[in-house]
Amino acid sequence: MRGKRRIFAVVMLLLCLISSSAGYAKKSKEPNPDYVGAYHSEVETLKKHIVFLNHGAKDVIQLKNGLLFAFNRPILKESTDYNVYKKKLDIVLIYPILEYDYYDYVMAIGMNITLKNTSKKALTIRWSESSLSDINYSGLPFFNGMYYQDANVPVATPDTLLVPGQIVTMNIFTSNAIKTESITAPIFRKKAVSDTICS
Amino acid sequence: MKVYEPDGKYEYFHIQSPYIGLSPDYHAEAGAEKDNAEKSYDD
Repeated sequence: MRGKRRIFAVVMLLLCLISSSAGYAKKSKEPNPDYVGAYHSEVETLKKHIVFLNHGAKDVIQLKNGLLFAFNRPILKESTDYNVYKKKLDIVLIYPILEYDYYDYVMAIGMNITLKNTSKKALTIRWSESSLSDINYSGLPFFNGMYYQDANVPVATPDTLLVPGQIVTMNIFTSNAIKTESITAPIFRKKAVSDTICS
Repeated sequence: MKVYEPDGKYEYFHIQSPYIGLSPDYHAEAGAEKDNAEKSYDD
């Protein structure tokens, strides 16, 4: 009987240890609010250096109908909220500051582009019949001024009309974003699969 | 991306963005800062 009690006590002790260590592991991914402000400027500086890299794709694309499409810069969102990290897409960088038990998540949520109509005809981009895709994500583009509830709604997604010679610079966002992948890195690392596709 | 012309004709275009990542400038600046830090430490 005494042996059974000892075994029971050992099992309970092990269970307590396992649950406490699991809790610690989860907690270690939560940002420490005490250090959020301290690293904000550092991350802001970093974000200025996150750009489109020319790895095979061109920064400026000339379409055969005369439309010029230029990628200016990615639009980034920074979050220290682990829940955002779990739900959002396109983690570009995870900035772990291990000594302070603090993570910062930098995500690409869209891009700034410039369109130029070099043809002699008016061109209309019908975004409601286009798609913005990543590896596991595909949806309608989302634009400034739209209601969040209209994300991915074709009738609420505006066209872009370009008369000959007109140049338009605009932000284009993903709608209904979901997380597609994550990368943890001891230092800043380029996103492995970062190419966003318009089709 | 679907682009219409005035006569109603349209074409689909596939556009792939460049990769997103840290610019080479960042690594150069980080390297220079590290060199300067090491130099000042040596001094």
